[in-house]
Order: sequence, then C-alpha cells, then structure tokens
Amino acid sequence: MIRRAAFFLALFVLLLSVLVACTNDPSPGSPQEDSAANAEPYIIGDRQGDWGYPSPYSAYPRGPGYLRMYYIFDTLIWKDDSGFVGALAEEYNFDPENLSYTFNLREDVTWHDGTAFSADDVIFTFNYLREHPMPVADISIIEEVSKLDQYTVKITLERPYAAFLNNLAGVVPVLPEHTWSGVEQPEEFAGPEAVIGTGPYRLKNYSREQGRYHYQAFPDYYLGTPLVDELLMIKVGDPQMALQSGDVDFAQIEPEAVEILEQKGFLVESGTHDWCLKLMINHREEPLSKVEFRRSLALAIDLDELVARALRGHGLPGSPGLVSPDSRWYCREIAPYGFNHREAVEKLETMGYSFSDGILKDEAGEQLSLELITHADFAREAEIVGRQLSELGIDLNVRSMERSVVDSYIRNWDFDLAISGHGAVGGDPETLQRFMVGEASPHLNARYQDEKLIEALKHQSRALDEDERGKAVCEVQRLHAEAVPAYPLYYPTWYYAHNERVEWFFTKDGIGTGTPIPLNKLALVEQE
Amino acid sequence: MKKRLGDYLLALVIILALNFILPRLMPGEPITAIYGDALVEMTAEMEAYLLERYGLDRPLGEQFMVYLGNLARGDLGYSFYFRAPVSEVLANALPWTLLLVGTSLVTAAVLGIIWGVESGWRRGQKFDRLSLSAALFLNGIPGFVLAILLLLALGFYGQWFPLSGGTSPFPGHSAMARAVDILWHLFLPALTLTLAQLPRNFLLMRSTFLGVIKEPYVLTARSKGIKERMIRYRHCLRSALPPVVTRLGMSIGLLFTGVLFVEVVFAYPGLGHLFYLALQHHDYPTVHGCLLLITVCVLVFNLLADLISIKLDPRLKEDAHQLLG
Repeated sequence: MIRRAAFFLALFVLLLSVLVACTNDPSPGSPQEDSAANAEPYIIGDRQGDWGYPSPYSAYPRGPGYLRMYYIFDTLIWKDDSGFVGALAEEYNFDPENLSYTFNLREDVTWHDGTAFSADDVIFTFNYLREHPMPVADISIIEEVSKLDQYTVKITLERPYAAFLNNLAGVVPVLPEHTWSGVEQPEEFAGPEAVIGTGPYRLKNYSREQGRYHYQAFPDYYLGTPLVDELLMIKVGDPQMALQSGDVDFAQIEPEAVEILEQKGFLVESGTHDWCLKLMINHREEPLSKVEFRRSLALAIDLDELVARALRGHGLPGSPGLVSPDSRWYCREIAPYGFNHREAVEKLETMGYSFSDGILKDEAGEQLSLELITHADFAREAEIVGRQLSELGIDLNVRSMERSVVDSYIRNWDFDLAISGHGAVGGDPETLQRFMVGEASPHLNARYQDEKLIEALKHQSRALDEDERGKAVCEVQRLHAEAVPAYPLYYPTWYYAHNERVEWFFTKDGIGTGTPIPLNKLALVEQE
Repeated sequence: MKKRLGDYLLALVIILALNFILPRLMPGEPITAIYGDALVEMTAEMEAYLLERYGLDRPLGEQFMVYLGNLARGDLGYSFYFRAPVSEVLANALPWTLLLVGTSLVTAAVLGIIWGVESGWRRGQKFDRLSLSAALFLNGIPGFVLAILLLLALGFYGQWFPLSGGTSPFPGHSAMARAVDILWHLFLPALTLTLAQLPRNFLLMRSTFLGVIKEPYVLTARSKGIKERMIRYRHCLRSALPPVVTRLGMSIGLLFTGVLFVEVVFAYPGLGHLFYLALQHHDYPTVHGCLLLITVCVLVFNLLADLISIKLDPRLKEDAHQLLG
C-alpha cells in the first residue's frame, strides 16, 4: 500500500513538473556563453516582481512599471544626476516668442529591429497619443508637432509650460511608426513587436506569473555599449536574504537591514524623500472648513513622534507646504507648525470651544466627534494620530478599511479625516497642482479651490525662468501651509542596497516625471 | 447520478451570477483602485476614456449580458490590471498552483492517512501520544510562521533550497534540467503547505479509524488470523476513508486561494497572489475568471470525492439512491 502510494505520488509530481516545464517556462537555459567580463548577468530583486509588460501602454502605471519600459524605449531627452541630457534628441532649443521647442534628432539611431529612426517616428508618436491617451503624459498642452526635416522636429505649445521638458519631452516614449501605425488597441498590443524600441536593452523574456524580466543589451545603442549584457529583474520574497545569498545584485531593503548589509559589504543608499503620507481633511464640512480649526489639528499632531514610532526614525516629518525638505523646490521660509498642545487648545477656545477634563466641547456643550479613516498599511500611523488628536479632547474614531474603499470615501467627500499618501512631491513642481487643486486624482488631492492658490500654481506652471519659478513654488507652499487643506505627516526614507557592480545614481527630480529609484538606465551605459 | 450532475450544473449557474455581482458590491471602483497613487495625469477625459475602454460606462445589466455572451464564447474578458486576456493570465498561473496544491494535497493526504492509521492502531501507546502532541503542536503554528521558519532554516542558513521563485533565472537547457529545477524550487513551498495540512488529515483519520477498529468485523478478521497490516490497510482503512476524502474535496477551494501566504513568502507564482491583486484593484474580469476557475475546480473535486467515496463504500451509493428517490 505504502509503496503504491509513494509510486503514484512520485508520478503525479513528475507529470505536473514536466507539464509546467514544457508549457510555461520562457527562461533561457543559461547566461549568454560569452567570455567577456560583462557577460555575468546583473540581477535586480523586487518584492512585487510583475509591473506589467514593458510596453508603453501595458506597463502598470507606477514608477517601477514605467522604469522597466524605459530600458527599452527612449524619450527625446532624459535626465541624469545633474539634470537633462540628450537622448533621441542630441540638442534642443526653445523659442520663447513662439513657445516652441526645436529638437535636433540623432542620425545614428536604429530601432531594435534594425529600421532607421527618424523625425517621422516622433511626429507619429505625438499624433498617436492624441488618439490614444497615455496616462503618464498629458499632451493637451501641445498645439502642434511639425517636421522641419528628416531629423528635426518642432513642438509648439499652447501656452508657456515650464514642466514641458520634465513632464513631456523626458517622459513620452517614442514609438516606431512601422510597428505601431496599425495598432488600434494599444493596451492589448503585446508580443515582440510591442517592445521594439531604441533603448539600451531589448526584452528577451517576460514572465508575468514569475514577475521576471530578462533584458539583452542592444549593442548598437547610440549612447554607448551597455555595461552588462544581460539584465534581469526578478521577484524575490525577501530582498535582504536574496542579496546576502548572492541571488540578486540590487534590491530595495527594509530600514532595519541597513546596518547588517553595510557590514556585509553592500553599498546602501537612500535618495530624496519624494513620497508623502498626509492627513486628508474634509475642508468642506464644519468644523474642518474653518482654517483656524485645521491649524489647531496641525498643532496637536506631533510629527516627530510619528516618525520615531511609525517609521522607527527612518523618515522626515511632513512639511506643511507639501514639498519635501530635501527637494530643490522646498521653500525654507515656511516654518513647520510644530507640536504645541497648549496653542492648539487656545486656538480652539478662541473659536468658541471649551476644553475641560480632557474633553473638547462646542458652544452647545457637545463633545466634538470626528472619524479618521485609513487602510491597513497605515493603521499604526492612524492610531498614533488618533491618540494625539484625542488628547485635544476630540472623540476620534479610527476606522481601518480596504485601500480602494478609503480612496472612494475621500473621492466622494464622505469622510472627516483620512490618511492617504502619494509620490512625486520631490519631482517637478507641476505635479503639486494635482495634489492641491482641481479635480484630478481626487483621492490624493486636497481639492482646495482657493483662487490665490490656483493663481500661484498657474504662475509656477508658466514661469519659464527658474528663479521666478522657484519664488512661485515657494508661494504655492506658503499658501498651502497657511490654509492646511491637507496636512503632510511624513516622508519615509527608502533604502537601496547593491554590490557596486554598477554605479547607480539618483536622478535629479527623479526618473521620468519623478520616480525616486536609483535605477537610471544611463548608469548601465558606457557613454562615449 | 444524473440528478447529482443536474445539481452541480444548477450550482454553477447560480455561482456565475454571484461571481458577477459580488465583486461589484465591494465599495470602491476600478479606476481609483488601479491608478491609485500612480504617476499619471488622471484627468476627467482620461477617466472617461478608461471607463469606456473597460466597458464600465454601460448599465450593470448590459455588462452582465456582455459577460455571459463572452463566457458562452469561451472569452473570459480582458484584465484591467494585468492588461492581458484573463484566460492568458489564468492559464499562465494555473499550472503553478496545480503543481503546488496538487503536490501538497496528495502528500499531506497520503502521509496524514498513514500516520493516522498507525497512530490509531497503537492508541494509548507512546507513539500515539507523541503523534498526537506533535500534530497539535504543528496545527498551532500559523502557516506563514512555518513558511518563514523553513525558509530561514533550509533556504537561507542551510542553503539547500532556493529562497524564492518557481524556477532559477537560468534553469538549464534540457527538459529534465528544467523539471529538476522546478522540483527544487517546489520543495519548500510544498513542504510548508503539506505540514500545514498534515495535522488536520492526521487527526481526522485517527478519530475515524478509532471508530472503525471497534467494529466486530475487525475482531473477526483477527480471529481468522489475517495479518495485522492487512487488517489495518485492507479492512479498516477502506471504511475509515470516506470522511477524509470528503474533507479533502472540500478543502480544494480554500487551497487555491489559501496558498497566498506561501506564494508571498517564497515569491512563488500562482493563483493566490493573482486573485489577491485582482481583488485589491477591483479588476472584475480577473476576479470573475478566478472565481469561475475555483468554482469549477471545487465542483469537479467534490464530484470526484463523491465518486471515490461511493467506490470506497458502496453503501453510500444505496444511500444516495434512497435519498434521491
């Protein structure tokens, strides 16, 4: 009986293994058999693994998704650690009178399939984007894209737009006309043709279920030969263990692992603090509609305690102007509210509230009651903030729910206070608009339709002179800090560890629109 | 039997309707869930475009009819989140889940049955007492803790097994090398899941076995001088098996989605994580596909469990006939 059972068990496992091996494994057998030093594959580990098929319309709309796509597709310009550098366009110039950018394209660029690149591809791409909007790039600001000659294009804007280079020229992946011209459903366009780009790497294999990307160097890359022939991005359960076991060369790690990994010889780096957790405030409802009340809340929250306890010190306390303190756009003139319980109570008392026996009562003698909603990832933060606000005498009910439910409540203004977060606060200040005013991304946006704030945001958007723009951005932060339509709580520190086989760097203002990950493709290119 | 098949068909139809409705009853909606805090310019125009693109701008009734129509043609729809046909997404993940769940289910069943029989046969003896304590101890360890312990001991410190993934990045060229690589990666996740299920199988097997060995026919068999091993595995086991088989059939649905912790700890591919991501992002077509797949698997495995039980104990066939008139 036992022997028979063991036999069937072995047979079953073997059959299924072969089934999987035969039907489902796109992995190559071995690294490229090449004696060169750069033939050793470079492996990047990641907890999530799958970020979508790395084609412009299929990559998941998050920084890591686009980053995987940008290894294959190039943009007109790109950024390194000091700012903009040429990519498909060797150089560009701006005509302020006509609001037009002229891009001189490289003549030595070929697509991965050997076809020559030209201005027609650029024109096609921008026209294609009008028909098929790409979430990462809103091109409505562009009035016209015209071809001056085979390698020169002119892009004319409808109005002055300071973020054009960062948010469009450096973000829109240029598509090959010869493969994309007949594509009606770009989101469904997959397969080898959908990943023909001009970038330093070609996609060799992609496995969604394994969360694995296998790139092969494109030897004819116009900026120089890629430093490693084979680049893999793989899903790992525990990045710290994967690094120490030699399974991966690079991974984002937990703050607690920094010391251990440094002792083991890994280089651990952290970049700017571009992700912000904030307290969303329903400023449409009483009493949160009163600015003095919102300021009282800000005074009652001890951000240092929050960072110390929720992040174990690995982060920066929030700045009321939203921009993180290590961003070049941060306005140093804005003072933080600081934790001051007495001042918070005094402010509330001047508004007619009374504070006695640890209870805050309104003029009718009723205790003030509020609800704070959060999702499970920030339950600890919600508990800390909830306790701090309770010390103000508010009857504060903390409710934890699923992320999209929290987002829906915020979107519909069906909340008092909520904890939510987003990235891109350290990138180009154009992004501030979508987190402060208007109706875009409502679950992340304070939607504070204040005329002065809207005007200041418009001003920074149109200010083409950097100094002038800096002042306008400062004004935006000041107005946001004064009105407290939402209150930034903290910016977590993200750590990345690697074995220094590649000299990674952090990109000025982040990769693309502002992804603060040090995996810039230019670090893998030996520039000539 | 026809009546039973009819019941299963009716259950499938009801479940199809529930599969469609239930994900939509969740608070929240797909566009916010998918794009969330994404680096996108989510303008009203873009949102309208996406709603139209995913067919979410149509009335619910129309969406249901489209879903049924597509299903009738074998089209499971297009995933909002994974941006690929649902059938393709599921087809790529399913073999891994079948491999992991199948291996651990069969291993835990075989080991649990043998362990339960041997322990029950030696009731009150040292082996039985130790087995009972070990099973209760093992049953008390949460699955994810077990996974992490095994990962640390056998993967990280022991370095005998890989830490994560379903295959190595470079598993080798031959089919045999790839199969060996898959089995090597399968070992820790399957061991975790086997150990997580084993105590329950053992306890159920032991308790039903204890009831069976008191039957007079066991005494008769003994008095006839039949070998003890033969009595245990030929006579008693056959009578004690049906409740265990029924339990195994019922646990299939849970196993398909309940392996999430194993998939997360070992970064192992499969349906559990897929289903979790689909739910998290309100990816209705993928949720429908997963639920449908799980439904079909549960129905098929329950049907199989029923058939095996009837085969093991022909009295059940008569009971079923009487019950169905």
